[in-house]
Amino acid sequence: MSPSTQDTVYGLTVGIGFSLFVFCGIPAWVETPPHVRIAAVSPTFWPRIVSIFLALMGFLLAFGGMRRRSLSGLETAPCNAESAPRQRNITPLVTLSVFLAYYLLIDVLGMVLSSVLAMLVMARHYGERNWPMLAFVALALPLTLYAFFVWVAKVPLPLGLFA
Amino acid sequence: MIENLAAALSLVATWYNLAAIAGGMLFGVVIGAIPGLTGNMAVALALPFTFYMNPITGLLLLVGLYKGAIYGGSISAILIKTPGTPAASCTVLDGHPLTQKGQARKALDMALAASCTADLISNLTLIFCTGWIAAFALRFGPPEFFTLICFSMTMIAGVSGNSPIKGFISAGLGLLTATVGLDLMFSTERMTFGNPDLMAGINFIPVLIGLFALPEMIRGLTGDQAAQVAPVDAGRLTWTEFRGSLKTILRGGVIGTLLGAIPAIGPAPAAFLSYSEARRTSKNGDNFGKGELEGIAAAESGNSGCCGSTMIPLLSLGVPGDPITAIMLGAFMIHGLTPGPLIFKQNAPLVYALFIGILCSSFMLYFAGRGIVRVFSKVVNIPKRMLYPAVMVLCVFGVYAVNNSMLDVLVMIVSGAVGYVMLLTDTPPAPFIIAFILGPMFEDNLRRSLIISNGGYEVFIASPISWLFIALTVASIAFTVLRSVRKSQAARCGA
Repeated sequence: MSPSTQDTVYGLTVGIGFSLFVFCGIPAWVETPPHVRIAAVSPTFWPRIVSIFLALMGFLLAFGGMRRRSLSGLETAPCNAESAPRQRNITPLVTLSVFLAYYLLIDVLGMVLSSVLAMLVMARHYGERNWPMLAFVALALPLTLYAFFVWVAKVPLPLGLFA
Repeated sequence: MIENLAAALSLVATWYNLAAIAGGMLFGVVIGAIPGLTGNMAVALALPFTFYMNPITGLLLLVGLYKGAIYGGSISAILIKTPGTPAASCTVLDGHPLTQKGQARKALDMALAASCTADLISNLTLIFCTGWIAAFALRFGPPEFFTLICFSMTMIAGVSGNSPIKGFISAGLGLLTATVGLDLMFSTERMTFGNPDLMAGINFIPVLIGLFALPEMIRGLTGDQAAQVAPVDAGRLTWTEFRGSLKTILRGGVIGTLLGAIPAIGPAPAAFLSYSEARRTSKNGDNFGKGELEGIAAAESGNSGCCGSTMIPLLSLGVPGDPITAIMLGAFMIHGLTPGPLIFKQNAPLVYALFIGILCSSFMLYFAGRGIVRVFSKVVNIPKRMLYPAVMVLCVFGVYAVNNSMLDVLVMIVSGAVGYVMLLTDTPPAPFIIAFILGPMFEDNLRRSLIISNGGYEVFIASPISWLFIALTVASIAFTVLRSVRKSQAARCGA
């Protein structure tokens, strides 16, 4: 996707999304008390102003993108973030899934065990092949952090199955 | 006066007082460097230990912890792009790019030097100008706060990078995210979706860590990057480099000192304001955000400048300006001391002893920091394939510890995903953070001012302080527009 097309799509998404938010989201999700004498004091005032501002900025960005596109014709240069060659194994989706699985496992396995697993999976996923070193770090780091947080910082951490 | 000073010296000049400051600082730096653990937590943890100490020893321990934690936040911001404390969020902007260029040690040295210098300015102000600054801070009502925050908001343009519109979108998202929770005035729900955990609003720290630390992890590593360690360190900060940033440090120290004395502002906005002013006036302004030592100097001097001056309203008026000074107020009261104008008469030797200890702490911060920097700077030698998972685990532990809440961990992951989208779309995350910090203060003071004036907007031009900030806001916007026009003209001429 060229930068101008990306700006157009991004701008239109923000513009349309926040226009809808002003008309549908705010009335549904922001509770308004019955008698507010000064309009600017209402709980909906600030979110509405910000959403309108966001919608305007979105359309402005889209307009800028379309203008640049029409001035220079179809750009061929890809935008910087997309220019990196796609990786086979390490994808953002996999990393995000590991994060979410880590989050869900904390309640089940506790903070330490889920951290050990998450660290093993992530480091392997990033290409670490030195198993003894990986196993040592994956065990030592969560255990040290656990000891620090529980005994020094007095923060109770989730124990999951071990509660 | 001389008698009081002599009594103060005999109170403070003991090995255990010096040990309390040094120990507090070392522990504070470590706490501050761990993402999620803040100075508030460090001071709150140490408070029970002060019950068994002399008043001056206990207070100096807390001061050491506070200063150490504020500085410590910059270490993780520079080395692993994860601000240890909210105050260090601005340090990331230039700190991490410098690490990637192989200048981590230089960046850490600059952060330390700027912190110590600004801290010294703040401490001297605390000692010599408490009365004046307290009187100035007392004149701030909601309209003055509102105009001050309007001026602070202009710094968004300064950190928006090449696309101001994307910067404004980022800021708008930050403002909107900050409205989640119970409405402060009417106690009605705003975008909580019936979740009681969201009623208190979205915590700042998970958002901060998610936006800065996670996006690069989510993007992943290619084969070459995975084994990569930061390039060989380019050496330590030189005197010439420090002198080149001295003006910025002094300005940042003054900004931090003034904002620190105003209750409820805090070090993070001070750091951003100092950064924005430095970027606006520096001849290297265009390099800010790409790894500029002056950027670190500005951010660190801004946040450390608050350290001493937050004590001004506490000591002179008995009003704590932030959570840390509220805890310190508790420490004073436990020892039977009541901060306020009378403390200078009733306990003059103790106040002087505290001042001497606080002054010493600026120098001790330098030595404690130098020792710790040497240890922490080894982090750059860890390959990314091992560093990233370790940072992820560290972030999860730290973020959970903020409120003992799993919701915060989820907020961090969602913020990481949002940050990744921002990375893809070239949207800067710094405006989001600034707006997220300032948004609630902006809205709250706007509404309180309008209630005071019964809906009339003339309240915002009723005092000279408001006028000053309105003038500064207009000047800042005009300067930014002028600068961008000149830049585009220069680009057109170049083409």
